[in-house]
Amino acid sequence: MNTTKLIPFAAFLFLFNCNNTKKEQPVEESTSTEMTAEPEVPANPLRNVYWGDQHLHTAWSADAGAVGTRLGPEGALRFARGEEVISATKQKAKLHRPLDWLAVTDHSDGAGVITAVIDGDEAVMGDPIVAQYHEDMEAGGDKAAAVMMDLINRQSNNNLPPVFTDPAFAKSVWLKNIDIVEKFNEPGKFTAFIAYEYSSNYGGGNNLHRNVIYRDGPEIGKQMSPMTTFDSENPEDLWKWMANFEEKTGGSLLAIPHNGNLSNGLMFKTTAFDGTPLTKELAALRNKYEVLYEITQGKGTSETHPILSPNDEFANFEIWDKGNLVMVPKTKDMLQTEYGRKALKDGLKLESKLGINPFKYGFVGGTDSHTSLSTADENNYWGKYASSEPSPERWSEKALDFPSGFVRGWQLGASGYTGVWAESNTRASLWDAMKRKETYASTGPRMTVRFFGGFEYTANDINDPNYVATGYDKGVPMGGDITNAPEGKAPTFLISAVKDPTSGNLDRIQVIKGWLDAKGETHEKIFNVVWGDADKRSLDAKGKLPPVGNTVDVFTATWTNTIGDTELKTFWSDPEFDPTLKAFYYVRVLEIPTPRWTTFDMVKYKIEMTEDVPRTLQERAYTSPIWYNPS
Amino acid sequence: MKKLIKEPLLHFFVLGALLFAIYSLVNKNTDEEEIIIDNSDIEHMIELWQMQWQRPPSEDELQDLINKYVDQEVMYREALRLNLDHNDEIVKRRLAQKMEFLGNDLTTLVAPATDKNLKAYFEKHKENYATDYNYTLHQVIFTADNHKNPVAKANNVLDTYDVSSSESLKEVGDKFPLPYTYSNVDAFYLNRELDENFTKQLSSLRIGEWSGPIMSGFGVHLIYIEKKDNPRIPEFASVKKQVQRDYEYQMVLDSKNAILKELKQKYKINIEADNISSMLKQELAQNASK
Repeated sequence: MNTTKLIPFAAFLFLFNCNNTKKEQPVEESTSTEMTAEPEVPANPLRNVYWGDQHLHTAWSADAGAVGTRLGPEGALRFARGEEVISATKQKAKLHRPLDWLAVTDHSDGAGVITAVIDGDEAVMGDPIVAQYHEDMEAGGDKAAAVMMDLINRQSNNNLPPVFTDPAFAKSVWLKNIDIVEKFNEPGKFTAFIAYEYSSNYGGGNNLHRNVIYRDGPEIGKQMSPMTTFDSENPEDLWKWMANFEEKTGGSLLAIPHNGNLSNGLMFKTTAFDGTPLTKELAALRNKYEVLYEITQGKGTSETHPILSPNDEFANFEIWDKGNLVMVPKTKDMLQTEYGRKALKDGLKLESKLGINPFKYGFVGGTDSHTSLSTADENNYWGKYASSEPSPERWSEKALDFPSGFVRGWQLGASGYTGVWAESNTRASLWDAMKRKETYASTGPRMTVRFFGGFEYTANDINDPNYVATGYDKGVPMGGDITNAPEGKAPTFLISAVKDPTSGNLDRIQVIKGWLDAKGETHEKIFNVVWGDADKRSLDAKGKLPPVGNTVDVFTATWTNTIGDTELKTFWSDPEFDPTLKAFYYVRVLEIPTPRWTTFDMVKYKIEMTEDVPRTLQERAYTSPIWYNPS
Repeated sequence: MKKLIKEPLLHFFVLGALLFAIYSLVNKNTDEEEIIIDNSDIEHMIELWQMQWQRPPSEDELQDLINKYVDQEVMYREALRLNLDHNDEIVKRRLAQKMEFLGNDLTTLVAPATDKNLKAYFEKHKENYATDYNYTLHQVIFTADNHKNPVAKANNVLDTYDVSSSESLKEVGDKFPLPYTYSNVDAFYLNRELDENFTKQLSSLRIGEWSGPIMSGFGVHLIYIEKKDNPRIPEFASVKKQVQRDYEYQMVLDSKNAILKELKQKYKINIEADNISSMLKQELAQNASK
């Protein structure tokens, strides 16, 4: 080990330092009692948007490690912070822009294995063999290397010094994971969440996965092991586990379901898991713990489906509807209970029956990459598995391959980041924002989207440079609730979007409204509320807007920002408001067409692709809804 | 007949029959196997449960745990009997990974992150911890949403106004949700907000007067740099956490290679395959002895 040669020099520094600390100790003690757990981090009461990924697997997830991913949580966190790492396929990988936060969500299954491993605790050093090791280490060179080998041999022969096999020094993979996460959590600069994925594939590949995100640090997180599907594949038991965790530890958790599109109709079933009628208690548990839904990720987008939303011309976006996670074929009726928008509508229905809305979801994005590399940029896409890291073949290879069907590599989406509106970049601040659903999902670009709702806004408010303050003062941000409509007044909204400076201009902003009518039927309608190139485009009688155009040159994978706008903002009021009906409103922002990752691959590797591979796409963001509840 | 051969159900039956045949051959011993659940097994199950729930399992829950344990144990043992663990890529990778975990933990023992080790590491890699350029600057922007030719507009503004006053352009730029003043922000932050292409262009600008125009993905900017601090090496104490992270990572990487090299010495690796090119064969042989 190189550093051993530096020990004499370092020892000198160490002694020098000891003297200093001793003198300063009383001062430190007196200040430490006043200090709060987290150091002072500047806070913006009008909130900043922080970009991250709440869904990433590393080599520590059995299914990622098993297909060749080499980087563990440490590599994942370094990459997210903007450092260069070496990928599974020995390529140098680096993000163009660092992320602000990350939740490493390795599968809890298998992550709870107790391995006989050893902590560097000083108590171990009392053992005579360990003391000898230390002497050898001091000697450096071959002797130091021999220590390591001796330990390994003893371990494999079950002959470790007794102090090492003391359960107090045995550490589960879960605890190791938390230690690594903690190293990278730097309040104010980068947030690393303690998290895991509960991966229920109930009934053979019906995706009922949930990411569980911790608000707190190791002192809470380490108290209990994660819930696994070995214990139960019923997500209701996960919520019960979460409730028990909060009660026992005083900590806070939230769960984020994903890939309803691969659940073959189970994700948003309107009954209890066992098929009996949904009870108020279960609805309340879901309402409390599942506040967010991952609406877009690498394995397809789950906002809505063309069959569910035939009037939505943008519904057919990165759709995966062949089957479930193992490609057991999907039937049409299953689509009814696996997409986000439909779940929001069914939530209103269930709320009118039960008094509580089990599907009250805000929206987030996640990559679900199994490579430790959180990438959602079309021009820097590192795939879903080690096998789909950049290569000339990855587009045509099978990404998922099961007897009943397969998915080609090109169908994977470079998608899934989350923007969180929070006062500061800390675990508590970001988590609280997630809990109040002040979040939005993006298919990759980091556009800045604001969405406020209330009854008091006026058309002039949006032109005020400080309109954000007005937004918070006179109403609620995305994820909030409005009620008590004043007589004769419809809800008013302040909406704005600024493009990602590295991506395409903005095409349009839409408000998507869903409501429950007096007969108990649900409806949806899409309003184009503001758009780019407004001097050249206007709505037709049906409220449709002509397409923005397409500047993409597929032979060079480039485009120009000569169409669309840099910034779009508007005041909007619902023209069809009925104060007696439950409703929700969320915003969808579309970019102008830009090259899809496959097109960047075509240019980079000088290859041809079949006609069924889309050349361009319109990246987009989805905000959490604002709900209207009749009083 | 062709259709039949493709039928997955048929595959299943054939495979099942085959498995049973192999099983009968291997499993000549008709004695019943024993699965013993002793006190320590129960204690282990309860311990794992308690780590997850922070309470002992109820009678029903314990029964469920034992049932699951027995079921799994039966399948596990039968799988071992059929040598299903052999040449299973997932089993191999998992075990290799466990070996790696073990190596990592041993590393923290033999190369602990003591202050002296960390300081030595810091001294050696000081440049990795240098601070970013730090700026206090004002900016105004002209976007294509509002101007046919934003660059010409910016140049025109530079010609018209007093470029030496930091306040002269305050009301001149487009209304846009970027701040007029960035106080003591480092290049890391500006990269995040405006992209690194923007930040790179700052280095060419004069200090103490309005200059530009420079481009960002939003539009055309004029910039007044009030203050620019060059990178410097920070005190060890202020970056200790980062140093520790890097030190530990480096130690793990170093030891991973060292361990593998050491363990490899126990093996003689023969590339017997002759269906690969001779050049590849030579290269592999060389790597194997490394």
